[in-house]
Amino acid sequence: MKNDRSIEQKVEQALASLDHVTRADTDPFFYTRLAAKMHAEEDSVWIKLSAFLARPVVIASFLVAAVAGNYFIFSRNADTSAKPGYAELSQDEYNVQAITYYDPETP
Amino acid sequence: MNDPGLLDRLRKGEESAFKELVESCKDLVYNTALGIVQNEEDAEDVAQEVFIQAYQSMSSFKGESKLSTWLYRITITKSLDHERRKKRKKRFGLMRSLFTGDQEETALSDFQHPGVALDQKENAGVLFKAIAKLPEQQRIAFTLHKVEGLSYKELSEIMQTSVPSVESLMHRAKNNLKKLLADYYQRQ
Repeated sequence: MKNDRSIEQKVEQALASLDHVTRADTDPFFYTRLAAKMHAEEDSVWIKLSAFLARPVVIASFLVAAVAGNYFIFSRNADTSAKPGYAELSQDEYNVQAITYYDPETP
Repeated sequence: MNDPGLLDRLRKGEESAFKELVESCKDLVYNTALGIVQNEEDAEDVAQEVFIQAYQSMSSFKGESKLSTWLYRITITKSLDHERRKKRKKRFGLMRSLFTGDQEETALSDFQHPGVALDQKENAGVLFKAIAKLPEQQRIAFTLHKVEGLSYKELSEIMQTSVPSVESLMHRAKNNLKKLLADYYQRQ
């Protein structure tokens, strides 16, 4: 019983130990260190970006994308040149033939 | 602290305004972080992260709540993130030591809050150990109330909940702490 009471007393004392706690403060150079960290982080953004762009995977991806883009554009152009143009289509449609009076078989 | 002039200057990105904010709120942020992470170096890291985050997201602060309330919220989030990162690191270190056989330094130092009176240091050390075992919300409410001296009303604004919810959190926190402390003293 006595033991229980002493434990209860210790618990209450521990719970009350923060009743008059004062605020912990930082040292006067906190802002100086913070400003230095912020500048370092600003610099590191560009360093990180350039490091990312210089990675072989990124360069290879850019190259593959460029080659694929070129191939796509080239194949599209090749397809349109293979198709008959407007002049040829209308020639067939209206049965237009080149009229010549020149007969190559007669001398 | 909610001076509209200062807020405008902060939104414009003026360095002098930011310095003013840091100088006036650094102890608030540091003390809150210290209460949660229970380590002075970690608390300073968290405080720096808080101000960097505040500087970067100042444009998103609409001024609906007090600037201090907004800073308390960032501090709580950053402190909890810091704790999670630390726990993850510890778990990874433990796994690595299992594979490599390296023994990592795992000893936890007893936390002593610098604002505690000398005759209360021992009791406060035991209490902080018990606080660290509380569920997250109870821990935040109890720490901010005791260490920062915030009222239940202020806590409800920071935690974005009602005053009765804060009262309930505090009641449960105290009950859990009583059990944890009784258990500790019985084992002594």
